[in-house]
Parts: sequence; structure tokens; C-alpha cells
Amino acid sequence: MAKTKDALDTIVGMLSPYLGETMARAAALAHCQKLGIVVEGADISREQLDALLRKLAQGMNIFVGREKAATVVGEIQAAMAARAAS
Amino acid sequence: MSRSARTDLVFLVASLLAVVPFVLQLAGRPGGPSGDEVRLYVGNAAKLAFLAIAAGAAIGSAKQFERDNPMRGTWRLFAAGFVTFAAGQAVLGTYQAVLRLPSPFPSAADAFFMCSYPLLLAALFRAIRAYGATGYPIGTAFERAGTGGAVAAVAVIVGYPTLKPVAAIPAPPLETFLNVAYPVLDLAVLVPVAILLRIAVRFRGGEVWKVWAGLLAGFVLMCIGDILFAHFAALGRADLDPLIHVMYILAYAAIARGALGQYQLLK
Repeated sequence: MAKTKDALDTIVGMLSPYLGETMARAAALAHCQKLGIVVEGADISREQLDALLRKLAQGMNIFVGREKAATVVGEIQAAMAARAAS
Repeated sequence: MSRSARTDLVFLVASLLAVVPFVLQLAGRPGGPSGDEVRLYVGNAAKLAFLAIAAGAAIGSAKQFERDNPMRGTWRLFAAGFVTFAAGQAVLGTYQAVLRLPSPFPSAADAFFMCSYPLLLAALFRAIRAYGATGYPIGTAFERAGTGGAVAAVAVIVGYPTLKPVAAIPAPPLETFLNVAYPVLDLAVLVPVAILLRIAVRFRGGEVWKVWAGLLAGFVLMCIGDILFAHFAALGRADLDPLIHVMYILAYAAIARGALGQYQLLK
């Protein structure tokens, strides 16, 4: 389990080069709200994180294609795993 | 320096070099017969090259998007529009640089240019629909309709008095039709362009923004170029033609940069 806020910071950092920081953060927060993920002072479960990344990737497909979107999601997951391990 | 920044630099330098001979002419330093030659070849080559890059990048982007991705159809339409536009420019270039004749107006080039507008309009509206389906916070459909409606209203308010004198000038019917049709179609293109600009501005700082900033700036400059063309033709102000060439060169460069940006995003 990771802090939701930390997970969002990682996600935003990875999406920003493509979407810009404002849209990356707004999109992540909007999807958290839709999925019922609490951001402030809460942990994010593995299932919630996967659901959030799936939603973000569906949108990313439109901008960068499915292959690149999958690569970005893979990078986010790797970064999250590295963060959890450290 | 990133690949994107390098691409920006290359396009900036190339487009500035291409407009220099025209800016010098506007500044009262035409450079005599050699200056005319430079403008003839540099102008035609730059326009055709930028349009060819735009078409190539659009074809490449359409191929890269998956079969069921709505942006595949969007970029196919852009590709068809840019190829048709490039064909029109090639006809003009052939008259001017190969046959060494003043390009007639109207000509086959106008048939190509006219065919490209519905394709580009369809591409822009498809892009709006695709972006609306991303689930990202890009505003509501009501906001987008409001933006489109407001721009359409301004286009009518500005377009009617601007184009009325153009339509009133005695000229062959086809010439009058084209002089009015180009700016009208440009203003129609500005409606989806404004909606997309409102969406794209939320992506500032990212590569997606660069794609649309280039494409949309290009369409706006094309619109300005066409309106200037209609006015200068109607008023007989051939001395201001270099300004039209500057607008078109910068427009095509911006469109090419935008299209190439999308292709690079997919690779």
C-alpha cells in the first residue's frame, strides 16, 4: 500500500511530458473522484491503482496510441514498485 | 536538447529563412531580378516542402494509430486534406517555377484547395469528438458548443462586411465565387479550431499541446492569408503579395510541425 498522494505525484510526473502538468494532475484527480479513491491522507490499494491506471491509459490511447500508452503505464508501475521497495 | 526542442528549432530556422526574401521586399529591399528569382523558388519550395512533411506525418500517424482508435480516422482525413492541399500547391509551383508563367486564377490548383477543406473540417470535428470521449477534464459538450457558436457568430459579424466589397467587385463569376469561398471556408474551419484550441490549452507544457498549437496556429494563419489574398486581389494591391506569401509559408510550417509532433508522439 502506498499513500494515494505519493502515487498521484508519481503518475503526474510520468504523464506531464505528454499531457502537461495541469492536465496530468486534473485527469488523475478526476479519475480518482470517479473511482471513489480518496486522495488526502489515505492509502491506495493495488486494485485501485490498477483501475486508475487503466482509466488514464484509455484516455492516453487517443493522444499517443495504445502501444505508447501501455509503455507509459508500465513505466509508472515500475516507478511505483521502485518507490515501494526503497 | 530533446528531440522535440530540436524539431522546434529546425522548423523555426527553416521558416524564418523562407520568409526573409519576402520580408525584405516588404521592407523596400526587393533585390532586383535575382530577388524575384529567389522568392519564386524559395517560396514555392518552402510551401511544397512543409505541406509534404505535413502530409507524410499525417499518413504516418494514421498508420501508427490502432484500427479501432478514433484518431486513426482523424489523421487519415488530415492526410487526405494535406495531400490534396499539397497537390494544389504543386500545380501553382509548376506554373510559376517550371513553366515560368503567372499562375492563372482560377486554375486546377483551386479545385484541389477546394476539395481539401471538407476533409480538414471533418478531421477537426472528428478530433473534437475523440477528445471528448477520453474521459479527461476537457470541458463539457455544452461549453464546446458555446465556443463554436460564439466563434461562428463572430465569423458572420466580421466576415459579412469584410467580404461584401469583395463580392461586389466586377469579376468572372468563378473568380468571385473563389474569392469569397476561400475566406468563408477558412472562417468555417476556425469554428472547430477554436473549440480544439480551448481543449488543447489545458495540455500546455506537454507534447499534446505542441501538436495542436502547431496545427491550429497554421489554420489561423491560413485564414488570415486567404482574407488578405481576397482583399489585395480586389483592391489591386499586388505590392502587398509578399505578406500573403509570408502568411502561407508560416501557416504550412506550423501545420507541418504540428503533424510531425503527432507522428513523433506515436513512435
